[in-house]
Amino acid sequence: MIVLVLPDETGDSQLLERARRDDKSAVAQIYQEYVESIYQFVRLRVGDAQIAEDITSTVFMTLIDDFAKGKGPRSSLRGWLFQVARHKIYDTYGQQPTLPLETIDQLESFTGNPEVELGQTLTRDALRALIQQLSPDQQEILLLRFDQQLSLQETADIMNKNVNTVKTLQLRAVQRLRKLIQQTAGAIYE
Amino acid sequence: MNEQRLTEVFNDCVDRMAMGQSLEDCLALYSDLADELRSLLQVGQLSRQARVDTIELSQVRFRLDKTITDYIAATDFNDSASRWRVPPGATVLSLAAAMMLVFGILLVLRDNSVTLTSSTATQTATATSSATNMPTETITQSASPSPTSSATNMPAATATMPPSPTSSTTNIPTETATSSATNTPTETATMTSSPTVTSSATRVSQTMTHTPSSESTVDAQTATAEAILSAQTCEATMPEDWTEYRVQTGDTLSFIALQSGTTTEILRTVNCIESGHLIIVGQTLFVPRLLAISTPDVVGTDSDSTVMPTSINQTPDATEPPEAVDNGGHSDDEGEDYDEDSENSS
Repeated sequence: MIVLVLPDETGDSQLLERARRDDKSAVAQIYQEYVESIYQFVRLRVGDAQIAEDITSTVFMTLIDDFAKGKGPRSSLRGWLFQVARHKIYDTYGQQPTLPLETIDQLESFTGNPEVELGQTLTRDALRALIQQLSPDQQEILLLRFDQQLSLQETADIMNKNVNTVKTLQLRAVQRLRKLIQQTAGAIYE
Repeated sequence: MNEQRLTEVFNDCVDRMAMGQSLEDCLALYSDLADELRSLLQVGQLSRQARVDTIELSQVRFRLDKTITDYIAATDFNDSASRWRVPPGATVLSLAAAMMLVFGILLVLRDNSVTLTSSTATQTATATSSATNMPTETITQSASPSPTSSATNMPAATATMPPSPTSSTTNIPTETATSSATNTPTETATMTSSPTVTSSATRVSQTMTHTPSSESTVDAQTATAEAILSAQTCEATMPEDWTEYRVQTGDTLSFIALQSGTTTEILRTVNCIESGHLIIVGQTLFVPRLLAISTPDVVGTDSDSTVMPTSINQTPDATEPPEAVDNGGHSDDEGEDYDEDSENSS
């Protein structure tokens, strides 16, 4: 009898199960599924495209090495990847990273009318420059919660903080970014 | 303004919007904070506009794809796998030890001829499982003082043990090869989700180890998980003049193949059932025509079913009849397939 009924599982846990049993195609599939998210996260944190690419490739090599050693993530694959990415960023920049601020010149590309709704007036580069003025924690919260749309709990796990801290941090991050945008808009249109 | 409340409400709105609700939906829930919330949520959403553009992304992917694919290919995954598998010689040894134990018990039984209680049978069985990895001398020692039983019951009790004592190695193909393995080992190329990376032969043999007994639930579960996954990664599309059939309790792939006049091979290919994977009750399969016995449970057509699978170039009728015709059984045939292949591979 080969007919069995099992509750649905998420694609991740099935992938993980296969990868943990040394299925190379599953490992490749994990890479395909997450490479862009991880790169986006790292790229916006470190600013430099080449460094972001290197860190992203290190994250997946670590995953592959860990699978080959019979280690690697056991439950949350996505959380594990972001957590490793975060650690690699800190490895590259030290505990208190002094992230390369994109030059203030880029803010000159900020055009538009401050009366218009916030955001429609900012170019991508100008926005990145503003985001990178936030603290590392605030940047991570912003990227994980708004860009990657991870849950509060996932974000808390990745950042090794409790959920209440994350709640507070995410509000502060957005308030601070709003202030920066308003200041920039004010400076340009003075 | 209550900062604590704003923190909670803001978080709630972020969650709701991540789940697809609109900004206005959330503002309606917290009308007293609407102005502040709108501004904050807009800034939050705005941060998404900092994302990397697709040109940069595709350039990076072009390089990373190659790096990582090469890295996966160069990595030896068998290091970790070997820790979970016992070399074939060890399996033979433990089986031999188990056989000797059975004979030892039988000898003792003849000498003493005492009647058996069910509890002593369990104890003896436990002794069997712990003893199989010991040297032969130890086995006979541990077996001989155990309470004896009637000769008719004992062999039955111990006969089921050989797979179980070596249960530290439940994934060895050779162990379960004797029990009716239900899947054909043939793996079709169209099943591989990523053509650049071929799955290792060891995994294929691992997934073969499903036994019908309840002892192998772990194997069965992982195999089923793979079945579900394979259905996701390979797109099953319905060929012309085929129909849909919902898997019933008691069905097997070979049985369905027999009833629909095709082969398990073709069913696997069309339905993206990778070799070694299971079918699940309620799962919808594409079959050549209405089944003779079961009433087909016709379900809604999948959105992607208009595309003909490239792998199907032959009609089911043009192929040889299913193997199940010869022996009539609907799981034995695949068991035979498996045995043949395991012999070939060994």
